[in-house]
Amino acid sequence: MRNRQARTAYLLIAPALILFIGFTAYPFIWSAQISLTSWDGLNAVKKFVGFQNYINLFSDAEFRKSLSVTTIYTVSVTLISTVLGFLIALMLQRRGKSSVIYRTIFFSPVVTATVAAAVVWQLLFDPYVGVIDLGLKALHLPGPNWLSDTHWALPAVIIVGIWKRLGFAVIVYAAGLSSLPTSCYEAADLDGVSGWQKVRYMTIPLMRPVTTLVLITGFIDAIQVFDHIFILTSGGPMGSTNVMSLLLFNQGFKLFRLGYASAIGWTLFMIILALTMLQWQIRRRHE
Amino acid sequence: MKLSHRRLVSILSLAVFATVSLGTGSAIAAKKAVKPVTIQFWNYWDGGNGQALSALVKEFNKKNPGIIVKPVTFPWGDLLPKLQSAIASGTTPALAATDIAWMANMNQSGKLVDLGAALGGIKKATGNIYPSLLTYGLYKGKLQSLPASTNNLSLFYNKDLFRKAGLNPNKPPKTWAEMRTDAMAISALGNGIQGMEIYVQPGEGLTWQFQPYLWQSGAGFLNKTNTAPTFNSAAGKTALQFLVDLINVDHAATAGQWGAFDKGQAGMRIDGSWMVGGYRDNAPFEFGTAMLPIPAGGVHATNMGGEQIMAFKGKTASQAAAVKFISWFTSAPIQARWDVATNFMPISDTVANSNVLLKHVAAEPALKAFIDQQKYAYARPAIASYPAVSDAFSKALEPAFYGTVSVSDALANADAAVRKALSGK
Repeated sequence: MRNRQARTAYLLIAPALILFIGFTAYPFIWSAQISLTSWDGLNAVKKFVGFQNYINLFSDAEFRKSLSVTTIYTVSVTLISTVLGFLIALMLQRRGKSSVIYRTIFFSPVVTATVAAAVVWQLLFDPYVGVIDLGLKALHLPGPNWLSDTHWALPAVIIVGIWKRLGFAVIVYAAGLSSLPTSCYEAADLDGVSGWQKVRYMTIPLMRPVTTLVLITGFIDAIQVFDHIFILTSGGPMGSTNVMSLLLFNQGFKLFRLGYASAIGWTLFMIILALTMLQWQIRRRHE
Repeated sequence: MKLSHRRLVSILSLAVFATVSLGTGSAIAAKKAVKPVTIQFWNYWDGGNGQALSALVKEFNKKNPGIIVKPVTFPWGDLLPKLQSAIASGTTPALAATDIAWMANMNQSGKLVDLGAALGGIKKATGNIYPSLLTYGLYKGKLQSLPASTNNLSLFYNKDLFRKAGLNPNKPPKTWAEMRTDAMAISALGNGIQGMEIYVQPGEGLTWQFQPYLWQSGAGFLNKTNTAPTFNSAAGKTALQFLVDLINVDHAATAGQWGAFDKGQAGMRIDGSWMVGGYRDNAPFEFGTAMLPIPAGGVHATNMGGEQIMAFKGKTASQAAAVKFISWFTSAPIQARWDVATNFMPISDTVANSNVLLKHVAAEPALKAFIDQQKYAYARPAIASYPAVSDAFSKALEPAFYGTVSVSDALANADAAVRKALSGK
């Protein structure tokens, strides 16, 4: 009976397992193999070079700069979208039924195709006809050449990243806030606790698991960013928006260095894994 | 003897079965005999060029009922990764047309059909195609692709802005000094208008736009054997300093993204012949074209672009169909019509002197600059390390355009980076 149940279970998970093996596990292992070669992606021969690609990575100034750009982008987008998401969810909590409309508005960037959104943002940032610079000029403020300025290109792509991510944080926090026990807040009202004190001493601690989820998913999402930066700046000007995914793409598919690109991919994976485990450790310690 | 009822039914059933089987068999055989070979043609020709290709492919398919060619268009930046994946996974299309800059790497894949052998010899296959265009297709004595198109870079200028700046709209600059004066006059109009739009984003775009300046000044890019850079010289410094000063001293140009000229916000830009049709139909201003201005004591030079068409090894029928299409597409009459529809340049004298093309050039005066300049077009190095060389070169030069590094340092850095890329390290 038990064997039959086990067989049935395996049969039911078989399709998903086959897809996982074919589209995730196999490419995963294959890319590890490629990272140990100097393959250009076209040549019939794949020359084995051992760990040379990984050694070259850490002496590559472009990789170090890319790591720095990726860190700034990831920390900025994750933290800002998390904090703003929490504040907006708090404000929406008081709106009652009408908050549904606002939640839809905030969530719509999340479901918008990133490439299409990036093309629109490219027009918004245009120094000649873009609404942003026209608005700034109307306020007698200087409008930078956003996507071509080495100082403003990274903030521009961070703005787009926050715009894309914010809705997810709002929805998750809104769901978390609606599940909080009202009895604590009623007791706090009886004790004359102020609104800010409730948020600081009650809401924020109670929302810690949700915050951990939003931060971890936000971090993993942001560190792998590619689409909108590829469209908006292609990593320029002067590498100021050259995140690691873009570096990987250019090395593999423009410079015919697929082995080196695979090494970048594996390094990115190890960084994400290490930092995710660190976040879980910190969270466990708090609990 | 009377047949039993059962036996009669059996005989009748057998007869019916035999008739149906034979009929089906011959229908299947007939169907197999006429089923055409369908092959995919991967390319990145979109917009008007894509429509021109579709029209020609339709004509080929009609004349060759046993073959169906299906064009599949990808954005320029997507085609190479698609081909890399297809080669790695053994799922290549029968036909593809790619940028000439990719050919040195494509040639090493071992997946390309030897067109020389397939078309009765290299001489027969190439006819009188310009020898410089054959550089990209020849690999280890085999002809692995043929030129599908060629083009070059010339000067586009905004005649409306020329008039506004008090310049003669029918007298575009012929020298770097004139180009500078004209750019300064146009940028003096203010309101964010640039005299000249210069492509500065790192990558092949910057390299290919800047190379004509190096060839015109005599600096060159790589030596004859493509083993060392030659641009780090007095002539190279003159070329780079000219553009850097235009941006940072004269303030007649801005380092940045492409697009100001399209919006009528820049007086001049360097671009290819394929843009003529688009500007004719869509530009919100009157435009003109001219041969690239040259420095004092310099020579005419421009960059050669284009695509190569190739067949991938595969099933015999598909391969044969692909080779047949390539032979047809690269023939002089079809190339002449292709050039008329796309404003690409002729790949041979036969195409250049065809009545169809001569009539078209007479009716499209903007093409004259490109036709006149084609003989001065330089081919970029057809070496596997060229993408890495171009990338290293452009990244080293980019800071100079933004004024953060001196021209001497930028060229010295580029020299070191290109040598490293050439060595394969």
